[in-house]
Amino acid sequence: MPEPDAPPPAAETAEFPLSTPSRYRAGFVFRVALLASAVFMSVALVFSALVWWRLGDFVAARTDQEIEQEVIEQRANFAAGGVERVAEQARVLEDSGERARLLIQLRERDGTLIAGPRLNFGSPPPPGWSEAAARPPWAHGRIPFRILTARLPDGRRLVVARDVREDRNIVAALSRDVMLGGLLAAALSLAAGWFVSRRIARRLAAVNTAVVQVMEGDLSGRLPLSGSGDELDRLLRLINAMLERLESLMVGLRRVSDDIAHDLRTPLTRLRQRTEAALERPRDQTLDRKEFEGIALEADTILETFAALLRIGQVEAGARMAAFQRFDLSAALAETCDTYEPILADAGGLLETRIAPGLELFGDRLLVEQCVVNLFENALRHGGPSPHVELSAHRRDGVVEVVVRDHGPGIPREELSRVFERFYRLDRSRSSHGSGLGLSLAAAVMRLHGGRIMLDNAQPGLQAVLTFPAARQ
Amino acid sequence: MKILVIEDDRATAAWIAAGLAESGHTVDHAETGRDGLFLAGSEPYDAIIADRMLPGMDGIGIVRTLRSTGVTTPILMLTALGELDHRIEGLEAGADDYLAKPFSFRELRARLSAIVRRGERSVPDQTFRAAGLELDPANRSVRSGPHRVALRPTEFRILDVLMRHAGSVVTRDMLLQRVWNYHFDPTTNVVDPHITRLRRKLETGGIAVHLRNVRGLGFLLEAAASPLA
Repeated sequence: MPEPDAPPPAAETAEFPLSTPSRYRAGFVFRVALLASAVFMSVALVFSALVWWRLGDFVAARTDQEIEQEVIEQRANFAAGGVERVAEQARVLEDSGERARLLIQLRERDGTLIAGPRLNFGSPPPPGWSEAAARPPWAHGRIPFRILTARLPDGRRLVVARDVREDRNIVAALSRDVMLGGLLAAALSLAAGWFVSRRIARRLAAVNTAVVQVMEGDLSGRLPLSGSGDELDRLLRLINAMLERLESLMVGLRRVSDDIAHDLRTPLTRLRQRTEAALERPRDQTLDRKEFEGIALEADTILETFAALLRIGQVEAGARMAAFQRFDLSAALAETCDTYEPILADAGGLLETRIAPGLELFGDRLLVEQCVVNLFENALRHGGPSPHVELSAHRRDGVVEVVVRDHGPGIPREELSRVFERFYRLDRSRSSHGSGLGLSLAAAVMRLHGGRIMLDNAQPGLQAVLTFPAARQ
Repeated sequence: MKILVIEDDRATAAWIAAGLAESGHTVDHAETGRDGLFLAGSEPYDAIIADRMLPGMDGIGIVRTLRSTGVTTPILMLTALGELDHRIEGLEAGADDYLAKPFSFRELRARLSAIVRRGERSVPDQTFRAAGLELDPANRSVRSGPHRVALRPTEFRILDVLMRHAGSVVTRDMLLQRVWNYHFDPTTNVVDPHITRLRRKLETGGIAVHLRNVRGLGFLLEAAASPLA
């Protein structure tokens, strides 16, 4: 027994939520913002820790240097004036200790104090660097000291102590500031992240709304741009260009189907009537061959019209633009004239050409040829019994002009603009050939090439002027 | 000849099959691309007629697959999409010719015999002989016995197409496409005045050709009767 097929996965994708722009707020953008602020915070933290550490070191090193300097000075005093000089210095410093924040003690080898304030930094203070708290006479409470105990040349001890309250304060203040700064930076980066993510989320929500609108069938909708020209804007502009293209394709398609519905109905109805008329003849009567020929001709006309409509639709949609290339217009025109010269001659007419050499265009050679062929066909049809046609091509003021002129009766002034409408025919009788789409196609081809077609009464005759932008050198 | 028709529209397929059978050919019919591909790969055919749009696998896919597996049977592609781009796509895929719907049966038959004979064609840009004529691309002229006539570019291209298909009918559509590269109907009969001029020019130059008008279809170039006969 065959296994039942698994349900197609398409059902799931079909349920893709179309209108939940708010989801973005807690989604991707917010996560990115959060990550960014976390990274920013860690960087700030590492940076402040580094500053804090280095600065503390620097302050401590400065204090130690000061103490060492004092030791060197007292040793000099000792050398100059013996122990009395040092003792005197100790007493001087004791009197101005608060201002100097520095004091010295002179002690015996066993630690007995000879001169200097009566403070106990350990008895005897250990040789070398140490730290201790004591209450000097000028202060109210115990004060932290940095102490260096050195030996004088006669074996006595010199104790230099420096008040490090200020150092401690600087470091404490620094830590507080760094902590505060870190907190502030964290709060700021979070706020910035929230702000940015909300801004982006808002823009995405607007884009979502516009996309949903387009998906619901309104192809004229465009995605909103912020005007800042950033990456998102550039992407949206590209998508808008795509929508523009899609819309023009859709409009072209709709117009073609409208035209088909509108204008093929008449000849199809006529075809049906003729067929019915043939069928309604008495059974014994032989069918006229002419009747079938007429029916086939009618069908041919319909097919021809259909092909022309599709071609115009394709040209107007710009689908052939991809195949554009530089080509030699002079050569193309010469070939087309070569093709039509015998036809006009056979019709008792004449073709005169004045083609400037080396004219170049950027475009679709086949379409341009068809455009000129259509003008020749018009001249053949409406140019009188022995059509005299002139074709000239030249460059003028940066454009390339192709002029096709016949010597027929021309077109009444009030109808000049209407001949470009689809299916418009000057003579409304259905006896004339052609789909009535020749000039519409010519106009579409010219629009595709960024040029235009103008009709004018040249008295006598009709003059069609094709204006192309010249190919860039 | 044994011909395979791959066409999903039964009425069209039956019409083609009946016409071909009447001309003495054997016809196999496949309705889907896959069936067609299977038959084309398993039986030796002289020609394949394949629709462009088919259920399962389209005509382009069939042609590509056949060509990639080394099948060189001539293929004529039928299509409702007559636009130039589609033609080019079909030919690039490896089809030998491309015929837009609707078409007359005579047009189909002419195209079919043209592609079946195409295997004999010579290298372009080299002098080649057919129907008692010798065409010389180097100096764009045609020669027959002692007579030589210089040709204009269009005339040369017309004669080239006619000679390559000497002995079979070349339709007006084929000439429009191959000589002028027109893939639309210019309404006026563009071809006939040129043929008339070419014929007159050759005759004036002393070259006798049998270039017959086939009513309602096109032209047929036959070998001129031997001067001795």
